[in-house]
Amino acid sequence: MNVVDASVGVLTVPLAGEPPQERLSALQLFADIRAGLMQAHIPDRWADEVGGALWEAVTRRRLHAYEPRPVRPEEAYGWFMDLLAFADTFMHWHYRDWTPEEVWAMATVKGCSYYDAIYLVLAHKLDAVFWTADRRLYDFLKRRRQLTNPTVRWIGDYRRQPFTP
Amino acid sequence: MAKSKWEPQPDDKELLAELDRRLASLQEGKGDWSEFWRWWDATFGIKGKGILRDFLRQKELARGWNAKRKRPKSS
Repeated sequence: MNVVDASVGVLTVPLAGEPPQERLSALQLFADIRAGLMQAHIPDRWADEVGGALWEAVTRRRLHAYEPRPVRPEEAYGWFMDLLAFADTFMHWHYRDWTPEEVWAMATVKGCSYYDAIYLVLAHKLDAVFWTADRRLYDFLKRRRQLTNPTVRWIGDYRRQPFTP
Repeated sequence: MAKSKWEPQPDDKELLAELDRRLASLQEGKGDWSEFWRWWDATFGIKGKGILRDFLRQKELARGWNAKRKRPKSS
């Protein structure tokens, strides 16, 4: 099982300037989820983070990946809706699936932000791997030797696993 | 916890094979990202179903917190 960071979701929309290798890995991951080759899980906060990132792309006039112009609000909204529709099946909810106390405890152990700890709690409870494209978070946890329990992986390292029929 | 894993759509098999081919091509540095994105947008765009529909349903269930209520008729 896998928990997927919002930063990975944002890599799957056509915003210019994202690193190509991480982007390919994120697209591959989403394709594999879509194909039912792997299970993904996300906390409800995921929606707010993706929405925030896409809205920021609009307000900062970030460039479209294949049109020579900034991203338009309505197309960013379309991407947002697509991602939410896609993520609907895998979403977990605060208070129902985890508690603030659990998140606080995880943030204390890992030394990360409270919000990042939500993903780590979910991954821990599901015994899942947490995939992130947030280099700051990944490097921070790596420096503190906190890439296990739950396992945290960099999205650029994602490769489709061999599946036996 | 979440409802279940994503159920592949009936027509997904061919689409995913095509996606694999395109991603492999980009990985090898042969593909055109612009062309890829156009295809991705046209192919995988869902356009707002799923969670919004659920939210609307929840809002319907919890109707009242922001709705204008009809005043009961005074007798």
